[in-house]
Amino acid sequence: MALQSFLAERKKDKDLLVMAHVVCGYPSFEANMQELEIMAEAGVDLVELQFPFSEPSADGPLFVNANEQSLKAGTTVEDCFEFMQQASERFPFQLLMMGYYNTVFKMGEETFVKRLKAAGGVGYILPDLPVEESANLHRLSEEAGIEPIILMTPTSSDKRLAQLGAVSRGLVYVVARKGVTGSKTNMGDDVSGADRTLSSTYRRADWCWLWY
Amino acid sequence: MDIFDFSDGREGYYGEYGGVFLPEILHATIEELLVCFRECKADPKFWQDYVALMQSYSGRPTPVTHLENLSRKLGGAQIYVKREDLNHTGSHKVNNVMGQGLLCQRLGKRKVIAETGAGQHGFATATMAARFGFDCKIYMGAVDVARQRPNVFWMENLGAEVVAVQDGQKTLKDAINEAMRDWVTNMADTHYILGTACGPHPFPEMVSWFQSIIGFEAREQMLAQTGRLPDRVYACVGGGSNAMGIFQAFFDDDNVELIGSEAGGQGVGSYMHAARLAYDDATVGVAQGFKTYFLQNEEGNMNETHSVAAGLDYIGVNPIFAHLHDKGKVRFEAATDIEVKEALRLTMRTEGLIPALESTHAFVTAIKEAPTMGKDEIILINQSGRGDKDIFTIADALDDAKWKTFINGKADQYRAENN
Repeated sequence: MALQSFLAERKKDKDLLVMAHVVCGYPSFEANMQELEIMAEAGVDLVELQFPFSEPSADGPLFVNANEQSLKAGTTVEDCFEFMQQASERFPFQLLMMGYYNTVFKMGEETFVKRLKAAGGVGYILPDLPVEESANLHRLSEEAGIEPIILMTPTSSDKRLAQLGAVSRGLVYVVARKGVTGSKTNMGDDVSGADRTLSSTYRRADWCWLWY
Repeated sequence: MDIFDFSDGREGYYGEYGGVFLPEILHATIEELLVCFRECKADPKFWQDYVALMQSYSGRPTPVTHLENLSRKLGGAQIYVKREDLNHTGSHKVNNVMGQGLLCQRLGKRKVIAETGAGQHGFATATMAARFGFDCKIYMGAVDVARQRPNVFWMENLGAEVVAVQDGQKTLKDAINEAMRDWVTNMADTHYILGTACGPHPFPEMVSWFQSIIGFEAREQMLAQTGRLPDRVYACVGGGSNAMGIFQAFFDDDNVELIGSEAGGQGVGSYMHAARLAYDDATVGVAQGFKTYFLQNEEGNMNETHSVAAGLDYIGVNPIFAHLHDKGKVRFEAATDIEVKEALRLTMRTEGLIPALESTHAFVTAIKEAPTMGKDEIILINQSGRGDKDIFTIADALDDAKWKTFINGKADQYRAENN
């Protein structure tokens, strides 16, 4: 089921949907599977599977360490897709690939979209791929029914938000504060800045995710 | 040719290389930087102020020295050296840093961050920050902090905070990642002083622009001193900023051959090197904000690199060189660690010059090729930095027994003082 209709379906029964995150192969794929079981029991709606990368420059210390340990343990892109396949067959939530553009670039954008689709993924989040560089990948994704998840941020101007909104599909990822993932998570001033982003975004996207 | 004229292509691209691959949150910051840089570049007064600052603060113009002894000994081309080692802080790094300092004033930002490998760029940045009154934080891999104490010592004494980065290989690329993480959080009041002609646009162009002062001076000096242009120009290439600095002035001189010398480390096939273009191990990828040749595996994860010269020990090369390599405009060779040690000894003994280990890579290639050239031919080498401040590293590289005895004695003395 495509991402947008899946979310609409889920939204019928609850007010708030939950997305969770796992770094593939950290601490192990077995542990990842157990984590997903717990998430499924708790009613999680979406899970990001992060494909580890050696230079995760948008991630904070916890995630950097997880990426590093996973690669040290020998995790490959093939392992990640296989895991995604198993998870997508087994659990009711939907799966997104999260990672860095070089992983996609090295296998080729066409191959990436095909493999993601085959593994049951419904979309991807590539934080270091700006929309200026995304035209081909977005086209291939649209043909395959895969959603590119666009990030909107507290520093995005109204003009930029409009630009981002124009190419957004599935859901929009609203970055609620400046900084990297997983650090300094508190509901400070930065988060309230997301209100502005949200209000100007909400008219364009049906679904927004807040990244705290 | 003007490689920075993007009117026929995509802004920030050199052939298929370059671009901006950054998290969305930095989009506005990079735009702001680009606008400010364009204003500076279009303003003749900005360049005049920059040159005046470099003259009064860093001893520019640096001279060109004829190495008569070395030329005679090798029996071929006449060798000349552009003396970037005579800059304040001991290398060409200060050119870029002072330029970005002036630009930072225009941006109205009061905090600067920088990555550093060997510590030269961090040292230069800390110096500039002290002079301009900026808060300064330097990110440096923990491995580099451990092996480059003298530079860390100076950075800290100049008032900078040095952060030892514990991620990844704990070297330059990891320091860049960490600086990026700082920037995505603090971009409102912080400018990132990237140290080489790599990273997202406009950094390759901006760093190259500030470093172009090297080549403009050198070209004039060669004409004045030898009456003509050199036949070949050599420079070492890590990220590529000193090489871009000297090569640019000769881009329109078709008879001047440009040769970049990369870190061959333990040699071809060793996978312990940082030769992205001279060897066949690197492939095109996207990391650290831009597209270029990286030393990486088939899945796009970066490989370990190695060089005796920490300043050349980097996974990627600037996108301009990736393009000029494709076009055959710049030839790339590699110098191994062993060759570097030999060339350093030779240069010290014959000329009394102590090039930095990085710069010695350029000497290696020039020394190899000079004997094959005619006596009326001319070579110009960019001596990007001086080696005497790297005494710990060079003493290690040369495995100097008396130095080790001295250090042991010093250690004994400190231990005795603590007891």
